[in-house]
Amino acid sequence: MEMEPAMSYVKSLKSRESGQEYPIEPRTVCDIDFSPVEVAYDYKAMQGNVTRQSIEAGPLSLWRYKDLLPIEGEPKAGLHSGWTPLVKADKLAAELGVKELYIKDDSANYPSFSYKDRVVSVAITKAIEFGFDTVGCASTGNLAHSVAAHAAAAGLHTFVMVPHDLEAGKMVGMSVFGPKVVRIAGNYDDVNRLCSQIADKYNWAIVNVNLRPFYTEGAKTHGFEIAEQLGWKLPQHTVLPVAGGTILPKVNKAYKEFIRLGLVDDNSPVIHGAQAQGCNPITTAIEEGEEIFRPQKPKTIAKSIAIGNPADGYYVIKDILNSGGWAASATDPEIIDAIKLLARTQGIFTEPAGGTTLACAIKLIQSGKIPKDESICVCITGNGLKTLEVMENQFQAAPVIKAKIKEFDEVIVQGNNAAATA
Amino acid sequence: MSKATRKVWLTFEGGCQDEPVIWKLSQEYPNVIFDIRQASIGKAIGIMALELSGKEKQLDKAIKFLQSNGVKVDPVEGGSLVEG
Repeated sequence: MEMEPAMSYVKSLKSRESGQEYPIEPRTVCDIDFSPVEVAYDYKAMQGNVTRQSIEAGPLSLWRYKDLLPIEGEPKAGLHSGWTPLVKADKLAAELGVKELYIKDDSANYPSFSYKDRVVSVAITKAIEFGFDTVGCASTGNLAHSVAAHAAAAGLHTFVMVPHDLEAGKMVGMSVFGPKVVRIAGNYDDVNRLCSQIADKYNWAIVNVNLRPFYTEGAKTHGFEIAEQLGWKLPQHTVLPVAGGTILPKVNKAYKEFIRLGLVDDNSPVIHGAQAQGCNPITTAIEEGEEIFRPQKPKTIAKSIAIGNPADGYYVIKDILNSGGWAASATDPEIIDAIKLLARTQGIFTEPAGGTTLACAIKLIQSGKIPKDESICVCITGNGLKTLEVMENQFQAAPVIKAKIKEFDEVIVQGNNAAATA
Repeated sequence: MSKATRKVWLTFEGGCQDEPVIWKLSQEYPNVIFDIRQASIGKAIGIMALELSGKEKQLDKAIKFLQSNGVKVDPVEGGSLVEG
């Protein structure tokens, strides 16, 4: 679908702390206060121009929210990304004893089956606008997969930097797109520091480093879609995973932008965070009443969210508490159980990050932090087919039978495994 | 020896947040100029954004001094893990 060129409503990059403004350029932090910078928009100019109708007239992709994204011209990547299903999860709701439950399912995101396709679509478009010919990322897997796919389609040179011990499946999943895969002997912290140096030295676009302010804006589309797909209203409670701290503050920002523009009513939406027990700096800080988190060394099966020192963790804590929300942690067995529960009740297979989010949502419901009679949206950010090794050994091998109806009757219908002769 | 600048985040915890570590730094390395850009202190942990300037060797020593006083020192850019 051809999109009409529209003026951009982007004003500047702005420090989250001091408000210091900068032109639109590759930049991560403010020179004055060292805080992350964020894209600022001219919301006044949007009034009356960015409407439900203008959005509904857009393409069935995340680019229907182009006016609220930091690009100047037409999108250059991710033309089919986003617009993932919002599933009314009645069977799961019945199991949990809650009234109204939704699953925002980014395990179905295109082309790489995680929410990362949203942030990367914006970052790659921005990289092309800035004139970069080489892009890269520091990644625990999903981001590398998405960057490699989008950059291949856009014809850019690609370097993906990953810890050396990444799961084999994820390595294959990203390598097929032909990026230069750089395996680094060290942990994720080491990978990230190297990427920062690479961005400076080689003038490459590292999407989650020097393009981070633009990249993170793409995560807002997850929240915009929830609101629009819910019939232009906000769920009372939204449960989101916390890794580096991108998606939670940006879904919160998305809700606030829609409220500000009068596109949805302000129901004082509550935002909750979910982390794995083996990597829960944010949950720990919230439970201990601290505004500042202590970095941790991750040890969990939820590797895609195993980030012990979240870049935007401070803002995650602030947004959760300001909204009246809370955070929970899930153990590895609870994560596995939640993956199975979601699959069994709704037919959705998520990776451990999604299992973590659902497991934490269950805990928040059980503890009364989320009332059972209020609407709840659980955000699923990745696909279980990418982390099959986590579910290995979870299921008994089915018995093999001969192609005889008698054996089918005895072994399968009557459950007599001893009768299996094959 | 050339002049240099380092932008760092300091994390104070485990008792060192109760010590005047920055004052000690100024006494030990008077030629290292420090500029506090922002700070936040909680019950058990504190953070501070600092720009240090001076001679390279002096800066290295000043950072080692902070570390030896229990302060965690991270570079501003690339010092914090980003989402992947």
